[in-house]
Amino acid sequence: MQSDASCLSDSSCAQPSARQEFLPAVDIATTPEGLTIVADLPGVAPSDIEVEFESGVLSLRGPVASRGAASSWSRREYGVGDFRRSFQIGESYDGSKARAESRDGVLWIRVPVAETQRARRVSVQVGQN
Amino acid sequence: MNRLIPSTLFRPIPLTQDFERLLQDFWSQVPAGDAAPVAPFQPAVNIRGDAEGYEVELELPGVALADIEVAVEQRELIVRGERKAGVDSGAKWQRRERFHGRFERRLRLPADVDAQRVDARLELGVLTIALPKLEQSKPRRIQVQTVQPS
Repeated sequence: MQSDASCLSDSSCAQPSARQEFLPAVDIATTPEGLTIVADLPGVAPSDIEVEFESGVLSLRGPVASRGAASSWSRREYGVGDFRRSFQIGESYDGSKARAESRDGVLWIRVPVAETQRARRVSVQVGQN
Repeated sequence: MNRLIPSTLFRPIPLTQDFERLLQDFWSQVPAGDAAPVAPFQPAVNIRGDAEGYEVELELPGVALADIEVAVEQRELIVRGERKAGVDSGAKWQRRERFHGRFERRLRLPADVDAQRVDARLELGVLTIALPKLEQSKPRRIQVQTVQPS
């Protein structure tokens, strides 16, 4: 209780960050080549998108440029703020080789199947007697 | 759109094989397309207004300009279209949160909107529709002349 009281008196603690962050809606599909993550990032310029892979976690961040003061909206059915989301990538995929591209406010991330997981096709020779 | 979730609820999604299978089972319960007709998705809108007019904003990422129709019919603003999946047919969905297929949103226009001058632009997946007010309903600005002392 004491910590709560001190928190309330502390202005830096009482005020949440001005801009909220949002989880983008995603579709995830698997193909024989790998994993495809499709994320909706409306209002994010492709050059501002950050995609990172570290310790098995693929993270994306899409900063959204302000579209006027929040108070100017007379009807607000959705919030506008930066997007952020992370995914734990299984060992069967190689996150370090992920490729990303963005168009029309949609980010496509393709993570290839890890080399070690690829089925090795051994060619069978016709034996000669 | 699924955006009103604060990131404090965020948890990384493990993509282990068991989890993938679990998701697959879950999503396979979605009725197939040939079942009862599915109502079009209703995209969310933000609306702002000032003395000059109104601005209606919708997030339609991944929708081609050619697949969006903006119309005014009987004092109703109608935004409709379709978002296509755009993934190879061989792909297996593990998770589907984004809307797909047809969408439609209807909004009754305020009486002071000039329906003849509606304008729309699409940028980075954000559709902004400008609805100017009728000239007679705009506040009049009366110019104040400076009178030079002679």
